[in-house]
Amino acid sequence: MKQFQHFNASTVDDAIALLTKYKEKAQIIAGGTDLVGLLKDRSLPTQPEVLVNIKTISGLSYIKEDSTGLKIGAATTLYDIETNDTVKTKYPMLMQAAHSVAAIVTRTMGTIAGNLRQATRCWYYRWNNNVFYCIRKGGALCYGISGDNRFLGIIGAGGCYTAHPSDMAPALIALGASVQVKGASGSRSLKVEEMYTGLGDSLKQDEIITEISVPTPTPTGKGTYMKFRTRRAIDFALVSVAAYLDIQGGTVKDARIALGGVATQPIRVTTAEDKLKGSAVTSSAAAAAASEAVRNAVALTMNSYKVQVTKALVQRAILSLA
Amino acid sequence: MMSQQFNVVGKRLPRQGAADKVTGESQFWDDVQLPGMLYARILHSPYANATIKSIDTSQAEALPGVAAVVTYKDAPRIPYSVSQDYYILDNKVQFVGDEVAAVAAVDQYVAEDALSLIQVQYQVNPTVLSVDQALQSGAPLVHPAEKGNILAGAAMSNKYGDVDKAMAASDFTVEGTFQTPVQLNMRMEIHGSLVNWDANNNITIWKPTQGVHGEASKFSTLFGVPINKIRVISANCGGVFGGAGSGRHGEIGALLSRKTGRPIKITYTRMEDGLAVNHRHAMNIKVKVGAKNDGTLTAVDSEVKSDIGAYGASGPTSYTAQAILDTYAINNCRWTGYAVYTNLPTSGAYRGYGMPQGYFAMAQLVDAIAEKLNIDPVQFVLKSHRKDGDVLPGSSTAAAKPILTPNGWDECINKGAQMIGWKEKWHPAGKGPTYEGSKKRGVGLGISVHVTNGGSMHSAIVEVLLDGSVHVYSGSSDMGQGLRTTIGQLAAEALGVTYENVLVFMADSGITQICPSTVASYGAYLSGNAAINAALDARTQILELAAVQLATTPDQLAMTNGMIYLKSKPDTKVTLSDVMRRYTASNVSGRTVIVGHYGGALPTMPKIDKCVGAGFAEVEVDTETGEITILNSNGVHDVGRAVAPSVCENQIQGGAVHAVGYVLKEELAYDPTTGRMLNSNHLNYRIPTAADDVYVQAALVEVPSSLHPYGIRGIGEPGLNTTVPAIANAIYNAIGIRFYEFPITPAKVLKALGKA
Repeated sequence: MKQFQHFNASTVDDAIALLTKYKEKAQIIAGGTDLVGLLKDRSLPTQPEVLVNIKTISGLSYIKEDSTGLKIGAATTLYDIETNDTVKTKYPMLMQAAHSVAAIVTRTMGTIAGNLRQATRCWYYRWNNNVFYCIRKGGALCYGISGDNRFLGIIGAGGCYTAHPSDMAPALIALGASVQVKGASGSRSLKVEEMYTGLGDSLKQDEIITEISVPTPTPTGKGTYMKFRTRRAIDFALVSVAAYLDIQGGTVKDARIALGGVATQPIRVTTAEDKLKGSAVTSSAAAAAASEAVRNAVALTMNSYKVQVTKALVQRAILSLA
Repeated sequence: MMSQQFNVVGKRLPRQGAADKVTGESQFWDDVQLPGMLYARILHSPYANATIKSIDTSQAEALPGVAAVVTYKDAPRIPYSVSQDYYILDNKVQFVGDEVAAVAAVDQYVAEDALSLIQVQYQVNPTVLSVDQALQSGAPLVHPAEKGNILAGAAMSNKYGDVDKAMAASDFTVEGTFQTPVQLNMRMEIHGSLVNWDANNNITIWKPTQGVHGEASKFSTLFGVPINKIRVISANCGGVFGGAGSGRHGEIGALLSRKTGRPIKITYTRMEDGLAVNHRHAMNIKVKVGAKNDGTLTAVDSEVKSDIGAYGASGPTSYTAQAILDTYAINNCRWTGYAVYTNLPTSGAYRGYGMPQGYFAMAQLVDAIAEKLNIDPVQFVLKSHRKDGDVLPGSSTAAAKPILTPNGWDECINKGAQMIGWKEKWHPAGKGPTYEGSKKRGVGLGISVHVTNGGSMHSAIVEVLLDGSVHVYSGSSDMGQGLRTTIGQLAAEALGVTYENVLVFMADSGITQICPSTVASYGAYLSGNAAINAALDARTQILELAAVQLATTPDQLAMTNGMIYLKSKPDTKVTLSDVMRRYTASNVSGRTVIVGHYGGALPTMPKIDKCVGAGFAEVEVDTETGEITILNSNGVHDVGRAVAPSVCENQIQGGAVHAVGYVLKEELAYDPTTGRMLNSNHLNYRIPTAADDVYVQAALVEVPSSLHPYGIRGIGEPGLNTTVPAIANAIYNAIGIRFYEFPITPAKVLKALGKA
């Protein structure tokens, strides 16, 4: 780990000022469950010289519900989310996703915004000292394509085939959630699925997420999060599926399906959703949607299993909501 | 054999040191802090094979906070390791991660910063990154001084009977080529050491190890310091599983401590731990078995190639031969073994030591033979395993073969079958019902016959103090397996005192006498034998003193629970503490304590004790996702005498945890181009967690071994041996597909099912 300066921000504006001042030399730290490992292994393309701690900002950790839906402060821990009564009763998919992360020690430290913005777990990206200076870091190639790609993705972007590790992102996408972002030039709001660029996210260096807002599901809306992994704890998803269906009178009125662990970013598969809309939830409809979900998948040399697992999980998720 | 009425042996008593562990009081090596201590970090090779043309450490040495840098120029030119093929530091490096230099500094961060200031010019050499590459003609040599890439330049072999004739006379044969993977050690505690080379040339080393005396001897040889000035301490270990002892952190620490005059602590990172600590050997195992239609197994022919990595820590293909040749009653056997160098990290001892690989292959072929013969696999295994008095051709490569002593193998197999519900659950392969639309279930078994006794010299001291309380000193190691408890119970039993009165000291070469490394499942067998006999020596001396006091002769006396009494008249008695106070506080006997000692070895020929056992598994395979769930599993092993039953059961369960990871989950990945290990961490090298079907029902069978005073057999490794093939056979039973390569991951299952 390289020596760094550590600042405790007291307000969001304070944090923005620090990020503005130190620019690419600065990194935000909250739970640190991702960043500390990156620092220890010196695996970020630029070694941060400044850490801006946002845990010291009061009022950034909360779960509130109003008439429009759920508001979650950016620094709210995953443990607080999975144990919150409102989340458990009205947004169970969010509870499932939060509970599926790592192990309880990590969940008491890791935050919802950190989960959305975590770095890839690709072992080439994370190898010590930037030895594999890959395309995601600004280099020329993806070492995974010709290398050991058993855990990498099946939907690439920009020449990169990483598998996005977030559990919260697919669930939030399926719930139609947005993030509130604040930076030197003001505040903005964007849909979770619009936040990602394939090789990272679209937030500017001086911007931080302040809140995640989840719209109230319709009374007939139901969601589920399914995560496929080697072990029942600790692991990131090999494949995860978040599905939200609003079924009225036996017909799907609305559907949102998002995938994790298979693409360089959490992705929403709208064409798969379209296969369901207006029809009944039958095995054949679910199978058609599942096939559609992997239509753009291109397996690498060692991960064709992810195509089949994604199909199986999408189908199971849909049928479980019938 | 002595009286087999036991007061202490066989009881479930509080484990020595358990309270300290659960309250966090136990001191592990990394907890030790010394005044003036420096921290060291190691520079690793970025190349899989390179020669160091030049190395300039001046910039690193100039960094404020850096105390010293060592390179191969500081290291003695003395080769070591089992194969005498490496040095503490060398001017050539043989795998990515091989150790090049080390920096000692005021803290580990400064030391790490200094690493990047060491200027090394490498001449990069061609590499071999697999056994196949290494065996090609004209392949680059890992060790240019050798004739080829095969360890010791030649194949090893073992022959018994006439294989070719017997194979030709078989009604049918089955065969397979099995590929078993590397398994990382990945124990909980990180490897490392604290070395204090003081001004008087005394070297004290705190490190986790299975053999403090072997370590002391190694340091003595490398540094030319007599053994009495070297003290190796391994008081507590966070598991070892064969790996502790590998990694050159202790030796590098000694170089830095000598150079700086300060204590040096080197704590590996988890990545370094994976690179430097010996792994389980990846193997390619080709086996052919001949059988008659009446179920007689006629011949076995086998070839084993083991990837030993860059250095010949050991190449346990001969143990793989034991698994292949010793388990089933086959009297025409042939084995050829190749230990092959590659430019990959070094493989070495790992729980099971070459045997689980062999069981994976052999048990599946025997299962296939049972299927061809249309015989229930349990019935076939009961008929086919070696029996009392059979030769064990694999256990010695010499012409004279050891003979298996009586044991409880049938009982293990029958009990395990009953526990798993074999009769209700077994069905022809792939023909069971489908659950939840896509899930198939199956059951399978594996059996094992494992080494438990070795011929090594071993010793112990039992010291009876003024008040009748007892110290036991054993040179073996309690690495978490509970050997301190077992030794405490054995010494208490043999001496005739209560377990609570015995305190056991272990794994400190400064205060104990020589014992072999605590390996090969013989810790309780050998160091237990030493503790028993040292206690008996002390007891003899005590009874002589008590006989004076009770006006009788020692042979008339007995001692139980610290009370010495006339066998014929138990009311005539005296307490041990009374005898000790009377005879040691004054100069009546000329003694201050009673010291019992044992040093010796147990025979291994012509008869040989083994731990035999059986393991069963019931699995569920999801044919849509490839996920495998273990629904039930068990391990039933003949431990001879369960001295500390919970310790024995925990060993079976611990072995099974290793097996579940090995067969289903753990995948070590190397970058195919550079040879870099990609996942030496707990995230992507996926050892099972408590949530992952690792609970195995353990059951103990006790047919006392005939060669040990209390009838003990070792149980450290067999739990792994039986669980590995049990899972593999259960998967076959579930879906009718046999896997010749593991770990059997969802990716492999889906591919085999034609779905990926």
